[in-house]
Amino acid sequence: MPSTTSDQPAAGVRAPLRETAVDALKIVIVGGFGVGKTTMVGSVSEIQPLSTEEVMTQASVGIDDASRVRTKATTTVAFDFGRITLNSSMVLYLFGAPGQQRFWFVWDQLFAGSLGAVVMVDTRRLEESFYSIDRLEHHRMPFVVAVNRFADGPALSSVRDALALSPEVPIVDCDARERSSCKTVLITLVEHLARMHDLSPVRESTP
Amino acid sequence: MSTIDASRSTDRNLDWLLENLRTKTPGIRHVLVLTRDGLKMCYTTGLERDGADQLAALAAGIQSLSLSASAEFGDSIGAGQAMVEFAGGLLLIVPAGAGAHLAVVAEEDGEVGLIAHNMNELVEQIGVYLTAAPRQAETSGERP
Ligand SMILES: Nc1nc2c(ncn2[C@@H]2O[C@H](COP(=O)(O)OP(=O)(O)OP(=O)(O)O)[C@@H](O)[C@H]2O)c(=O)[nH]1
Ligand SMILES: [Mg+2]
Repeated sequence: MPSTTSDQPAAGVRAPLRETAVDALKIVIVGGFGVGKTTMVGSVSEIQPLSTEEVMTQASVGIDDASRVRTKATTTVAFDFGRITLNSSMVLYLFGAPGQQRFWFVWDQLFAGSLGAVVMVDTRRLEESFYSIDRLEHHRMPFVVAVNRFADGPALSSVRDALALSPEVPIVDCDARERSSCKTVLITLVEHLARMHDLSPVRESTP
Repeated sequence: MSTIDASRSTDRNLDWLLENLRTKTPGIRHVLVLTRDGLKMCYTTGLERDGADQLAALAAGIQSLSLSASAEFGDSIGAGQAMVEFAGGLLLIVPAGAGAHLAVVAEEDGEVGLIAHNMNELVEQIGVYLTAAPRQAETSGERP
């Protein structure tokens, strides 16, 4: 047999889930300004998270609308980084994106090599998550939607409709301040990824 | 937006000092003062508004990562200076007054030692004016 296997692209690239003993998965956490991305990385990480929080200055009044999260004094200016070991064979590397438009240029770097994403939404400002969902769909990156409940809000099914999510996209409730809640979101994502990777060979074999 | 434009008129003297830094230092293309949360405060005339917005955001990101690097691997926490070299240019950033940084884009062959020296000298002279105060806790619906 000719040794073409080593330089065969694509096939193995999107399905590394079962090929290594310890799977290190890069996951990005995206969403609008102040929805709780940094909070989530902080609550769930088992290492001291890298944070690039900077105090919001007076120059940001009128640019960054913090009226919905009044306790918020800082904002992410590069990215958050944390790590969580889900079980003996799976480690997630979490990259929290910056939410403000002026830092969106960082997103492409964060997306490189990522296998999946969490989109955090605040139901009081659903429209702020449209950009995240568009970007993920554009990159064809699988994602789950985590509804960070700041207050009572619409049921998950109406959030799903409002975001026009396709039926296979999981949507779950979440409290970004609770470790167990964040972990549930991540497990939902990993299961979603596994499902997608299991399905794809079936689809490919029936042209 | 309005706050920044309003502040520009009171920043005339700062503008002049930034222009002065640029003209007296060979190789400097642009000078910009930015807030730590990534917004432009004042900058030299050759820089377009969009370029200034972009430079402010990315310089804030670089300085924040530098700070994390110094916390992890350095002796003490504190933003040092950062330098990025790329084909066709150089970017240097130093901390300015509280809440602010000073960034310079220079020619590739600019003399880094001299540029950094002049930047730090400017910060020593006028660092107290190059500050960005934390914003006040927001009251509902408040707009500038
Ligand atoms: N009540 C409530 N507050 C929350 C919850 N999650 C986060 N917060 C608060 O809301 C704010 C969210 O801030 P961050 O975690 O910095 O949000 P972010 O998405 O990282 O923001 P940027 O990086 O600036 O876009 C913080 O003040 C949190 O304390 C939640 O589930 N309930
Ligand atoms: Mg954040």
